[in-house]
Amino acid sequence: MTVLKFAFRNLIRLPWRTLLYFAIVFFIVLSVSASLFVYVACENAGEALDENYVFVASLVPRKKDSLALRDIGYCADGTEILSFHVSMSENNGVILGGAYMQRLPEKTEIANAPSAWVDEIGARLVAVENLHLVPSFFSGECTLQSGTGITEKGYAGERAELVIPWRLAEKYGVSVGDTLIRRYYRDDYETYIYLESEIVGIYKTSAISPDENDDPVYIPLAVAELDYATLISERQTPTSELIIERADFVLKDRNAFEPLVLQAGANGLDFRRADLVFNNGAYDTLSGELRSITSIAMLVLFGVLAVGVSVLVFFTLYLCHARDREKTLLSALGMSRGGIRAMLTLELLTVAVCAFLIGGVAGYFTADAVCGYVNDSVLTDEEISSKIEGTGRGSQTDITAPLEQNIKIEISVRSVHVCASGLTVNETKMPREDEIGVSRHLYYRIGNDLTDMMQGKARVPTSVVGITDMSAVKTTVWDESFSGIRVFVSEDFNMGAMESNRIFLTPYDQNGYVSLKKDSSSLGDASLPKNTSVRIVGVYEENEYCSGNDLLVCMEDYHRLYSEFSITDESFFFERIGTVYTKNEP
Amino acid sequence: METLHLKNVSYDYTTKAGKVHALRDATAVFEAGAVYAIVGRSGSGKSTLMSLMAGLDIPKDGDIFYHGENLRNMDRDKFRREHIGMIFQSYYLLPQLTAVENVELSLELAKYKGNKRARAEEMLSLVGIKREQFKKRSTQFSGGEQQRIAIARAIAADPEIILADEPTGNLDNDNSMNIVGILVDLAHKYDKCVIVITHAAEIAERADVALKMDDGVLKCDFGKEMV
Repeated sequence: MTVLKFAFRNLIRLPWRTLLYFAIVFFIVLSVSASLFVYVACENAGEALDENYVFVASLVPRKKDSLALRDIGYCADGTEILSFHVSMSENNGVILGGAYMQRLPEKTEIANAPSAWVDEIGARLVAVENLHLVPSFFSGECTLQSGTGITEKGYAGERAELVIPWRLAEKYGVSVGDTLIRRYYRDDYETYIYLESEIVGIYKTSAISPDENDDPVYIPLAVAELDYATLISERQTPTSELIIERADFVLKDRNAFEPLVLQAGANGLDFRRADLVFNNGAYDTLSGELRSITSIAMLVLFGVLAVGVSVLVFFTLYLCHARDREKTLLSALGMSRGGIRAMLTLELLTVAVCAFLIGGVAGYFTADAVCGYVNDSVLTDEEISSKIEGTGRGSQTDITAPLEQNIKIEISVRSVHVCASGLTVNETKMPREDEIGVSRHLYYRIGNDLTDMMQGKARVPTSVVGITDMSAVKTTVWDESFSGIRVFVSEDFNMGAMESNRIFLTPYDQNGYVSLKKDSSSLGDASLPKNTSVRIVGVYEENEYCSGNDLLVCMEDYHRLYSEFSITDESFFFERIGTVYTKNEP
Repeated sequence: METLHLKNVSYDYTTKAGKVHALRDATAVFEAGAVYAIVGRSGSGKSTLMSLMAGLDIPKDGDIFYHGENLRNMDRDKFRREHIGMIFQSYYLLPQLTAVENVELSLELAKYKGNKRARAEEMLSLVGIKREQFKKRSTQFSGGEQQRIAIARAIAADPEIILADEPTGNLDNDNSMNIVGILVDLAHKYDKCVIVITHAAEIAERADVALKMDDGVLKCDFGKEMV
């Protein structure tokens, strides 16, 4: 108690000494904590930036025929990518998932095969790069009942190997080692090809399929490619035209670019250009600014620590020395050395703890104020917009996703707020009652039948205009009942050779894309170039928002269409509204 | 009866220049009711002797006994709190405290049972500090007054031994005589054992016993009786 009393009496009776000590510790804690808070806020902001940007590594092969489709998988091997897209000069033939395989009842001469196909039931073929990494096998849902599964020879394309479901094996009495004939056909059903293949595995599945044909037959990707090439040649399309012009890898973050390029190079991809394309040129500006602030915060942190701690140590030693007489007196009066030490320590600790607590709180608010200042000055919209113009993009080629502009990021010690053009990610901006939200995005109109696309029919650039308030435009409705994506066309709409009110839209231009989705573990199935059909349900009168070949849809349908063509998961693309007009002043 | 007994006490320490024999085989007996003056040149070992007698340090050789009990075996902090009152040349008053609080300090450390404030005020009055000055900060007093406050602090807990290290070193002649008078009174009227370290001959003359320190050796001087 005596020690406590002496310590507190000294603190109160020597206010200048106490305050000076308090001020030194307070300043150190304030600066250090504020720097740390700002540092953490910037780090979080950096992560949020990465999460809210799409980074695409766009690799262009040096030679046109130097890259096979399967090489893409090898290029991406070991690096974290979300998905990839391959732009090919000939896109009509990659129909791996659409091919059918059927079995001849007995080993039959291929030349005589067509008659044997008539009554057989087909199975869906799925091309795989690695059977074990197919989700259903990977998860244990499917297991090999017999056979070795696809071998190295199969994966290398040297032998056509098949892994078939047990239902098929039972139904047709085939087993491992048997030969099956797979049949491919052109979309116009005019040409068939027949290719021999060997069963190397029969698998069982625990999943209950309503239709036995749902269980696919697995075939190595390399073999499927060869099949495709064969089909192409059957169609008088030179194999040399199956060339990959560009491979776009959607990356997890910007840091993944370099490793991917190195990996691709190590796997023999000799590329002419490797560009990093991203959906907003402001990324570099924003991340650069954040890095600068982080550096300044660190500089302040270590600077203050170095200077502050030196001053603190010096001052503490000075205080202890200046109090030698007091210590001598107290010792002479019978106070133990431990008591004296406890008294001095208690004094310093009390001041330090108070300064620490108050400094920490003050540091928090200072950091918040600094963040506010940074938001208002360094990270402002204007600043970013002005720098976007000077930021070149790696590739001029259109990407499936529309590019966003004017992403704004706000840092604070509590949370990070990322928004685009004033809209929060994943939130729909709701225009007020006196406002109309209008969005516009360019797609390509193929025709009214998929065969149009397969036949390489010209694609007409067509803007789809979404509007939040349909009543703002006068429309005449023909078809009330349709529940899909309902579009209105202008009275001047060029129907071309269209015969029905169904239109196929794709986000790709004439060069087209083949889109291969890569899930977390494996190359999944390949699919047709993305497309979706919409239906013309009426006509709109001339208005301020759309005209000519524009397709008018309600905003909900606009977003449905938009997410259909998202290059990453759908949740990434927020439901945005491009422009907000006031109703009386469009 | 002997209060403090030094028996063949030696003390040395090492400096850069080499070993210093601050005290060599000192033997002396101090009793209550007398004033002892220890005189000698600077560096003769007087202050070392005082710190040993106060129990602030222990001898390298020999022993110091307090009423027959060896200081080595005692709680020396407690010994100082209860039996020693110390007076310094430069007063050693805490500037952040008032006169009365400075005196109370020794009472608080000695865990004085009675009313500390009343006792402190009584001691201040005893050494001639006016009541209206009790609550003034110690820095507001003159040198002589500060030394009197220091004496009040030294005697407040009623110790048996008063150790004074050059108590008049910073004072003029009148104040010095005043302080010496108080110390003599403490010994003669209040039966304290007052040991004064000084190099002032006039103090030695007023002491009952004078001892001389010369290069660490303690011996009787001035024809005074060596106890």
